[in-house]
Amino acid sequence: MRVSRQYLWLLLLGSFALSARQEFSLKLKDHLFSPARLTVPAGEKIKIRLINQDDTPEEFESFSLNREKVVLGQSQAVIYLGPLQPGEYPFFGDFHPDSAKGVLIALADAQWRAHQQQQTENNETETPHVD
Amino acid sequence: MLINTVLVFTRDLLPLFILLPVLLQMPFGEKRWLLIRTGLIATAGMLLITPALTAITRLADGNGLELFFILLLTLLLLCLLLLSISWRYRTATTMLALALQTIICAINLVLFSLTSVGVAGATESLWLGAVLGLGICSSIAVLAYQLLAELKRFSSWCLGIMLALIAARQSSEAIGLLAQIDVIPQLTTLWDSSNLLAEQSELGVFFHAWFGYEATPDAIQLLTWAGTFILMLLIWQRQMR
Repeated sequence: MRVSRQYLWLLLLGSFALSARQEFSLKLKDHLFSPARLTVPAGEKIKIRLINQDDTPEEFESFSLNREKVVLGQSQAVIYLGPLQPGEYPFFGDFHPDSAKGVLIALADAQWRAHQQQQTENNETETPHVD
Repeated sequence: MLINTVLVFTRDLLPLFILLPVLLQMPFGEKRWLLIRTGLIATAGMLLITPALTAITRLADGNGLELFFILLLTLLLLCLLLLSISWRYRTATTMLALALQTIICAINLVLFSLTSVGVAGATESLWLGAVLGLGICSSIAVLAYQLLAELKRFSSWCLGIMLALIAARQSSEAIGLLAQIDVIPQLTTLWDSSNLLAEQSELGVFFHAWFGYEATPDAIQLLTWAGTFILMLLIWQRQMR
């Protein structure tokens, strides 16, 4: 009985780990999204933490992603996405559409790994060497 | 700022100004009193909700507003179902449906109006945009009312189809919000008709407000939409017998 209970816990933890979403951050300051081009893996469930550093609310809107999310001034909100097909998904701030614009780029597995490797190399190059 | 304000007000008020002419086609005694009472209920609701809007938005890891909208949309859908099932309580049901739709629209507009706080010249743009948006929506409502009144002479099914389309929109919206907050899974989109009719185009915005047009729907959204539409038509057919 104890063994089967342990298996059940393992199964639950396993399923939780599988369903855990990779989180990406998207900042909004002076009605501008940063990064304006956000790269994410395709085919995976992800979440985007939208951090509004402005004092006024903004509405994250994307027709291609079917998302419409209000985030208050000086607040955060989470946008759940995926699994996405590889491609580009434009988004904008509905309350300031002229300035708040961006695009979400979903990369296929191989491209995503290459992108991550490049990111790691860039970070290593940028890190100052201390003797 | 002004153009965007007009667009936001028009887009957010359209669902109310499409629902209004449809419900006013129901056989009521005094429509003026119905509208006044609806206005009072909606105003009282907004007076209660507005101070708590920030707290509602921050609930459930920032998903409170979606949950609140799902509740309002479900209640609105129930009102429309009740209206189709029986006309016995049509006055109360219509008032509640209109008040709920007004509150949904008003919450979006209150949040949008917060963007003008502390911005020079924004308040004037906000008022002017609100008046223009209201004017555009009122014109559409008057045209829809006259058109429905004409079409109703030929067949009472026109009213039933309109109610079914609006009800299907509510259920599809609620399902979309449930997927947005990760309560139900997001499935692969069935098609992408944005090349034919973009959601951000004038007609796309109108169709979205009318029957919940989505350029990239998924299977759950489509099934819910179709299920609600068929259910509403079946109920209407039963009542027409």
